[in-house]
Amino acid sequence: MIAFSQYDITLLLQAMARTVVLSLGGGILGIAGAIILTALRLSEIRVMIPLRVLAVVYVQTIRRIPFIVTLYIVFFCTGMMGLDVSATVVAIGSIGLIAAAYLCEILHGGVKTVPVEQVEAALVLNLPLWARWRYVIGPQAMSAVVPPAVGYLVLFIKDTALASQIGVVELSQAGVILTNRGLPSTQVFCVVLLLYFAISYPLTCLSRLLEKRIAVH
Amino acid sequence: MPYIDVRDVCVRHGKNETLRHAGFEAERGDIVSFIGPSGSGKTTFLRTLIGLQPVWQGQMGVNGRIVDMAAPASARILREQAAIVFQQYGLFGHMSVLRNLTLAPTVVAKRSRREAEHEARALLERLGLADKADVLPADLSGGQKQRVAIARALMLRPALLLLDEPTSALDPHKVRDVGVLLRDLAQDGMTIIQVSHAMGVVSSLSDRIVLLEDGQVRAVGTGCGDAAQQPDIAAFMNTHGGDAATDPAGSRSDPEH
Repeated sequence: MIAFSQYDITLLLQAMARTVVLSLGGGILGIAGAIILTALRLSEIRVMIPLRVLAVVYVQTIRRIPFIVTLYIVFFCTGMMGLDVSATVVAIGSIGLIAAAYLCEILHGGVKTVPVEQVEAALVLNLPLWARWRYVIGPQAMSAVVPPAVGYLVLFIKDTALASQIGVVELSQAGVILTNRGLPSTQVFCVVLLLYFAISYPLTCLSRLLEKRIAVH
Repeated sequence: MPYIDVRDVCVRHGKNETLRHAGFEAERGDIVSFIGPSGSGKTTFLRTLIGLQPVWQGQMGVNGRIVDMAAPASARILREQAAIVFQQYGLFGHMSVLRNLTLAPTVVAKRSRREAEHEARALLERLGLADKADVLPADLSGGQKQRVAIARALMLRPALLLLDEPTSALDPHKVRDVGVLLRDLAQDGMTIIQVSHAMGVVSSLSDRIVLLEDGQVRAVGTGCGDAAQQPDIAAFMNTHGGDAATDPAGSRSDPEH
């Protein structure tokens, strides 16, 4: 059994916190972006057609590019533009860009599961837009959206490991640093594994809770 | 001036005109039936009357109030005076029957939930659904769903009730019940417009029959007896199974039996 020094534990906890920040920051950006993209894709206003096309092109393109490529593009573009931002911010931005595309597809699909007759019924009942979403479309779409969205976000927690490629010391990179310092790799990465689990498991629990709440309503 | 006066309604899909200068008139408390072959524009016409189908041109007068149906703001005005019952009902699957009925009155008309629920329960009782208030739509039969959809429409207290194939999913007993209900509503002063393929229902219920063909109004018959005498309508009804075997409301003069 290895004995972690105070430094090792601090490094692991800081790296864990950075992984949480990457996941949370990227996830929040992604959810916000996905809502905007989905709204654009669902818009039936004529003047919004160019933006709708752009949203579809964005989603279809981003989903076909590996995360590492997006990460490098954002990293080098910010450098070329002379923006003085940290690697962590670049990584959060990249995660947000990709998450927005994936979550948009999930959201869009969820909204489309609501039967057209119900959407039209809400319309002819003269419910305002907010009420149609609050009472009719949202609750029914959410039951189709929550499980795949949470599954995707859990996958993304794991993908944040790629942020190490631009110098972010996140959880898996901390594991590499510790093994390079001579600690036994198997045991170090077992601890890393447990820490990843500790981050993602609450999200899974939250998903179950949300699913139950949606089912009740 | 007629209570309902719809004129010159045109609907275009690209270069195709699915509705061409269609119109009709109806008095308060009339039951109007749109009939015609599949693809003749019946449902499209019905949907224009509640702003679900964009129109190229057309106007609708209700009790002297004229609405330009092509104007962007017309949909909301049309929906303030009309309600529709869809062929597939369109009940909100995640809400109880009671909440389906009270949603619009509480959110749109800002009525208190208590008052709306009281009215909804009374309406459900009238329609024989008193014990279904807390049930989800998925647990109802086709006939029950349809009556809930009608009840939801009635909660809006519309001047005009639109029904798309109201009896298509019902057995003969339920057809009769719905017929009696519609006749009662009409006698209370509600104008009803239905699309139907059931010629028995059409011939026994209708005050006016509008025959649509290829997006145009081919003929209009007034009154049950007169409608049958209008040659085009009589010919259509004969070839599409017009008989009174499924008379849903009994005779016109005796709606209770």
